[in-house]
Amino acid sequence: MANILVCDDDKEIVEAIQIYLENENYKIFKAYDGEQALEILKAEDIHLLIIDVMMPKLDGIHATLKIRENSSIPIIILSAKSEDTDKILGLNIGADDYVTKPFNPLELVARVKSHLRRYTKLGNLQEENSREYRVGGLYINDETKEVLVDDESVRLTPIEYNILLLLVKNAGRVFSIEQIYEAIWNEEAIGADNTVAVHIRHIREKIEINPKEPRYLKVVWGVGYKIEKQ
Amino acid sequence: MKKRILRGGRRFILLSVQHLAAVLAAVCAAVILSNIYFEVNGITDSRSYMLYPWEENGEYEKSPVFNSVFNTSVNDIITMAVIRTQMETEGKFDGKKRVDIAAFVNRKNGSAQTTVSAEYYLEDLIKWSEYGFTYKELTPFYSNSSHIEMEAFKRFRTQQELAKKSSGNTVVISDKEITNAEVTDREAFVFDTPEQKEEITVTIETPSPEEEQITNEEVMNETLMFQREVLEERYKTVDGSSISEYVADWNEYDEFVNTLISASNQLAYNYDTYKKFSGSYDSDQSNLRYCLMIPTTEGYQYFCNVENLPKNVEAMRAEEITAFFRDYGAYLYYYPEHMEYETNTEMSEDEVREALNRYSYVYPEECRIWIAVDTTYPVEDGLQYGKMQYESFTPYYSLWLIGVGAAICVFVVLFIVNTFYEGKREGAEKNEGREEILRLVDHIPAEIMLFLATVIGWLFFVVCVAGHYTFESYTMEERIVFMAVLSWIFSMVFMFFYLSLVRRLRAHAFWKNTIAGWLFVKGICLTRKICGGLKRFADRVYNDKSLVVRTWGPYLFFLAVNLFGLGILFTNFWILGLLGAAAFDLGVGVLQFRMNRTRQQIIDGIQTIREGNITYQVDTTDMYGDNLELANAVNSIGDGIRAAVETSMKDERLKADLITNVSHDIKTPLTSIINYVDLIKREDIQNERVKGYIDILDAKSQRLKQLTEDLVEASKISSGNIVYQFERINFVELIHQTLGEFSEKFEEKNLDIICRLPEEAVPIEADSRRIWRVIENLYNNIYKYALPGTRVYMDMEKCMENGQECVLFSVKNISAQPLNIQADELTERFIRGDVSRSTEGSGLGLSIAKNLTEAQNGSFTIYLDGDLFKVILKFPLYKRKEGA
Repeated sequence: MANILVCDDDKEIVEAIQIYLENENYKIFKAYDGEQALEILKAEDIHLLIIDVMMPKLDGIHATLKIRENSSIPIIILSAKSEDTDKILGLNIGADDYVTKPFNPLELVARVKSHLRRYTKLGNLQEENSREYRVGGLYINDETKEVLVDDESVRLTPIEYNILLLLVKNAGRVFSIEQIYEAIWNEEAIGADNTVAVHIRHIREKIEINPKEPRYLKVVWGVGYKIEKQ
Repeated sequence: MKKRILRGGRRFILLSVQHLAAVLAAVCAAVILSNIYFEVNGITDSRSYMLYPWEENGEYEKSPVFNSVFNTSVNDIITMAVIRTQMETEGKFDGKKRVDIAAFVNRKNGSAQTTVSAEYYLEDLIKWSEYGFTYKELTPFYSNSSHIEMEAFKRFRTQQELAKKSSGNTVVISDKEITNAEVTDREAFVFDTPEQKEEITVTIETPSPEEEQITNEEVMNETLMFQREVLEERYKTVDGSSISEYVADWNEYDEFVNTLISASNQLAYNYDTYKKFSGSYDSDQSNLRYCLMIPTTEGYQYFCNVENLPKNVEAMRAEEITAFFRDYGAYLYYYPEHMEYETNTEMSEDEVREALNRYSYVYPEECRIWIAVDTTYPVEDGLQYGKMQYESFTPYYSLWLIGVGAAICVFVVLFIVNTFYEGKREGAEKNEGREEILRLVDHIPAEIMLFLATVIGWLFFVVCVAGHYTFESYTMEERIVFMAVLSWIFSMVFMFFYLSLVRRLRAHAFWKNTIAGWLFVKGICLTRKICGGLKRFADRVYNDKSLVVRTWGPYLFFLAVNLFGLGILFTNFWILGLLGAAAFDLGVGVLQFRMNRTRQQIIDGIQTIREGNITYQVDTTDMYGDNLELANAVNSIGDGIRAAVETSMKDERLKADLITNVSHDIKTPLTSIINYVDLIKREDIQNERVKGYIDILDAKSQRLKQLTEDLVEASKISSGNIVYQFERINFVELIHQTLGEFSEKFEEKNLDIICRLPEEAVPIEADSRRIWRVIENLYNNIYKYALPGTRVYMDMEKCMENGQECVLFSVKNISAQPLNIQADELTERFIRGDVSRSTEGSGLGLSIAKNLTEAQNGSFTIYLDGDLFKVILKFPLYKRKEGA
């Protein structure tokens, strides 16, 4: 199983995370400051790192910078700092994900799984035919009508599937409710209502780890919806 | 980067080099000027020749300078031969040579116009001229004239008188008169008084009886006055006769004397030349060799200075002589009759012919001329000296010229460099301390400096002019020293004044250090003082008086002046009164206008501050009196407001920072609580009560989490710590999207949403994430507090407000609990309907929504009517920007 290094100066948090992750059969290494984390990274074969920002000796930002000098393992920053600027800083210096405290333990586990899958398996992709679509960890096979998120199958209704396919095919483009309605129902939208919005919410709940902070299906408020190009 | 500052020492060296360059240029120029001319003693005077070094064509004999010296020499020889024909016989000076004076004087015209002439000995004529011509008066008492002479005078005198008499006039001869003391039978010379200026009364009796008869009485009574001087005859003619023997009357006498004098003078002059000449073109004095063959009545006469020419030059043929001369190097041969001209010099036939034609009476066409220059130059003469000069200077001329040019270049370059660096010093770029670059001399007023410079300039000019005129008389060394010193002093003085000017300009102190500038500044000071005094006086009179005095005082003064002007209208000074009153009224009008203008400025300032620009300050320059006080008051009020706003902004920001930091500290333990509660929930707990407790822990920890997040956000929004990214948003689309998000929550509470939205898009300008937060909070509020099973109305419509198109979005629902508080309190932080305080939610939702809405130019209003809860959101419609 994968080796995960958890680094936080709060021992209770580290142990709680350890319990959750060991339940998922991961091997856990623990560190309580940045320097320890670097030492363990040198000594052990670590596959994923969860790191706090505010720590004694060496903080998470500088530790991440150092690790990124010679390693590409997934790094999830776990911080009480929830400002946009903090998140942008963390992601810009090389972290793969940013989770704010207090966090939902199940969400954290889901994110860990997702990153590990992508790090270990999705690195070497096979040739895809024209009817397969991939956006980040999201995979749609239009022949088998199969939708995979980080290699896990997701069950969607036909309308949800069609909406998702439309958005994935045109990744990056913003569709308004009206456009989506006309494309999926094939009829003119007269006084479009919230039907599409409800479907979108359902899709998001199925494919996103945290529907309120979607990774794939983003809402552009007052304009429409889009799949982020990755 | 290049260093822009030079230390004093280096600058001094540069300056010295510049002076040196000036001196060098002057020295080189002096050398050129001294060498380019050289002087050669000619036969009559010393002549100066120019070397024309720029027309350098190698050989001296081909050079212009040789040509000009040679040309002069040829002319000299030709002239000399002429003189020799006059002075010599058989090649030797012959004093006893007979000279026909009329023929001599008229030798150039060919034929003598006068018939009166005589022959004198050459030496007599020369000596005569040298001694000078003296005249004597022909008087009765002092006559030393010979008898013959007197006789002659008597004779042509009588003829003259007769001629005069026939016209019946009294003749007064004032010119050269003759007097004769002897009273003859024909003439009578009578003096009135001996002292009277030789006025002689002459009574003439006519010789013939007929004439006597006619004129006897008249003649006897007639008086004639004479004044006559005659030439003192130092020498007689060849025949030993005197002048009177050759002339018939006084006219002829005068003519003869004139001819005699001019012949004598010319010969004497020529004799002088001859003496100077003699020998100067001898073969041991000159490198010139000549042979002139001049035809005379007796054959040919030869003038030669060629010693080793065979004696029998007469026997030689012309070709032989030419060949002989050709051997000398430079030569010319001219035989006008056959147009034979042969030379290897630059001299042209025209020039030779011109020289000969001046003495064509000596050189008829049959003459032949050979002139040569012995190019071995065995003798020191002008040609040899010229060759020396030419060969010693011409090759180096261009070097000297380059020297002048290079020195001038160096001078100019250093001049520019010195100009650039003068007065530059470290830190001089900044304005302070600029004055420090000024030296003592720079503080002398510029006018005085200009005067000094002008005086010195004139002195230089005078010295230069004086030097120019006396330049010839100096030796080369003196010239060099003279020019070097002059240029050195000039360069020093010029740079002294010039650099002073540069420093002044660089220090921006030129204007200040002039007398005009000083007077100007003083004048302004004085004016200011006077104005200040007047103002103080006016202030003392004006201030501290009651409002009545301040208002009515000036008005009455104004009235009084106008009435006075009106009164004067009826007197003789009416024009004065009219103009005075008009000027005064105009002044008052201008003053009034200025006061009103400043008041308008103050009003504008107040308006600006009221509109929110609290940093605005009224410009109080040019203000005085009440307006100034008013403006200062407005400014200080503005300052107060600004200070207050800044303080409150700062406090708000500090509060936000505090809340953010505290929330970070809360979040970490909260994380553990949430995680471990979750872990406990996973344990297999049989006790139902414990399960209930754990659910409460779970719910409350989640609420604490929500609370901290909302707290941070609310504080951030109210402190203005958020950057909004405005974009165009379709409000209708937004409502559909948000309803989609909340549809299940509303269904859960069994709320019936009745939505009336326009079909077309309603664009507004907002930050999409923030406006989503507004709607989300609004819906959450409905979800939490609306009475389940009721209807919720959502309406959107456009409206006009203040000339601006707006969109109104209203949400109405029935509150589950009675609303016992004021509507506006609901949007204060932590305020909720009383009972709902224990339910989930932070109480910040509406506050955040309201703040965010207002930050996005919208308005958020809550209306409470019994259990009806109504929120109206208003946003201005998005307008396409011009040109966007």
